[in-house]
Amino acid sequence: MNGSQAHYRAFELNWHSYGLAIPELPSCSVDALAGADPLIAIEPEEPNCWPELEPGPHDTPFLQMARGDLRLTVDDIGCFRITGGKRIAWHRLHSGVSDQDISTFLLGSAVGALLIQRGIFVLHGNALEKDGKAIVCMGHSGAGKSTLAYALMQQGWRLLADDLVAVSPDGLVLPGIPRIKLWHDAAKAFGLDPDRLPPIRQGMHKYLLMGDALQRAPQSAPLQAMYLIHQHRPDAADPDAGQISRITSQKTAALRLRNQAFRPRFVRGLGQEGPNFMALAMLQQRVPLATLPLPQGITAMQSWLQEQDLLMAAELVTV
Amino acid sequence: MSEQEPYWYLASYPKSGNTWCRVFITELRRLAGFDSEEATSAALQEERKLRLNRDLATGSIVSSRHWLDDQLGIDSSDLSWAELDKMRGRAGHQRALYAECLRYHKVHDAFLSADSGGRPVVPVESCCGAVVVIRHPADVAVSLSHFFSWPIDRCVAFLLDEQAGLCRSSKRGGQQVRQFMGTWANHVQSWVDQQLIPVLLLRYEDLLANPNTEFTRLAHFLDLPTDEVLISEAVANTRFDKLRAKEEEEGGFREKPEGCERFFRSGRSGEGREQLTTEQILQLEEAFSETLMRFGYALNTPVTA
Repeated sequence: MNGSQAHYRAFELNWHSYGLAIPELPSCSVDALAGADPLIAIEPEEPNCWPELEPGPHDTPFLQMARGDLRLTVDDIGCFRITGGKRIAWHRLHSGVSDQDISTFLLGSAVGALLIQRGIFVLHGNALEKDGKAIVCMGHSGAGKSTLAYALMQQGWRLLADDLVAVSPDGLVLPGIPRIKLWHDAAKAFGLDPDRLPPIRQGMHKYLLMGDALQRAPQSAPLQAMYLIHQHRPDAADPDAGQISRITSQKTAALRLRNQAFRPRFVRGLGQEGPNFMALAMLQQRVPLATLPLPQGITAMQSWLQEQDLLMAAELVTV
Repeated sequence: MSEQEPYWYLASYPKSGNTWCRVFITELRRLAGFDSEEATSAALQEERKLRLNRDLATGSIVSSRHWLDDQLGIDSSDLSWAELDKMRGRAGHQRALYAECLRYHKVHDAFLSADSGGRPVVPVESCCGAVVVIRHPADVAVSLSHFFSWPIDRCVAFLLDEQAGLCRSSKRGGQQVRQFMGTWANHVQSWVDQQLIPVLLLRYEDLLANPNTEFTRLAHFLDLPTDEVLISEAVANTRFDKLRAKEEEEGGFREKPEGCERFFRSGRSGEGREQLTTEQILQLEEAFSETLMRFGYALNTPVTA
């Protein structure tokens, strides 16, 4: 869509993208853009006009960071520069890189960096809504966050945000990116036909569910509970292993929550640790954090979830 | 630049003694008082006995997605295995955030992958070296069979498979990325013959036969104390029967897959010869004769020149 432009709404921000369609984001007309909310620009740009950054203590060969400026290179795919919490510049590294390749990494990393630059507290997980209230399910890469989110959607929950969960200072989860990514085997286990789903990128066996394929919650919702996913092993020695357990120790909760922040390296490299720490402390006081022992296997997980009241469970269960 | 910390690899084909070495390192460090918070705590006496699940924190496995995502700044599951293998070698040597004990990284990958474009799959910058632990492939086959709940035949085929790897599926997620290994011999040679980082080669059979000598070599290579008394105590505390008893006491070892009865099962060497058929032994010896002889493993069957 070279030369074209599109408008989107997410995280209570207005997004204006030039030259790149981002079908995962909810689109809106220019007239519908909420006037008072900030406008974020997403634009193609040649990286040779990007000023050199002094090496930072948290840089890696793929990431350079300074206050208000983050550079990300995805080998053979693209470069991104995110500045001032206002702008994402992108560049494709060769003509074989598709728009979808760019938007995959733009949504996954660049948007997260921009939110962090704006001082927004971002958790790495999925947010779901029911009866106007939200829960967040967190876990490291591969822990089964998306599978859990889809299972919950089968039980009446609506998707509020995937991957990046932005929480406002007053404890509201902002509506984020309304899509989830399911692996081939998980899609099949849910009875979906992977051949009829768009892959996240050409040739990959991981698929996008968005638009009509899921129920999304369009309004922000107060965060009621936070859950840490861990795969429950039936042979585990701990008799409480199958129970939702609230983490009551302030210190443990703070450490666990810190580890679930979206890309702590970005937070440090962008000099946002201070505001982030304050947000984390407030959130921890306000919202219970509990571990969610998910049974292995989708059928077992679905029936286990049916017996849980996730809006209340974290608050009630103490160990 | 990022702060650099010394780090080593503990590289092995699966079921070759990697965990045993990590348990030994953990115990030696504890006995030497390196991990001072524990050593000086009031609970010192209670902690005298090694606790498997709590203490085995020698460092991330190199194939951990969590670690890679942090280094790459992206969700590594948005990349294909081939794309990822080209990047992995440059990830990881920056100090990982919030890692409490991150020095001895377990790795089951071969040093190079079919997709890594001739470059190592693991980071080598400022790496102090790799401890490479090898074990007779017939014994590996028996151990794999218990670990994966596979028939022996399938394990022999796995050892011989040029495309073999762990977490190979591109159709499901997981906390680790694909680890290319190739055949058993490919795996061993990829580590031993690379020139980029120093190697200490240990044979599982020698660790069993001469534990004090071999674990002293390990400790020396890793800049750990080599005091005789400490080594003897650490060796005694991590003998196989002790680990197995611990596993039972603690109700299962965390790294044990579902369906696997026990992680620390036998630990013996020579089970392969007892349990594999003559034909299976022959298959392995024919395919790996050069590597077996190079590392001092006697062949059952004479090699035809």
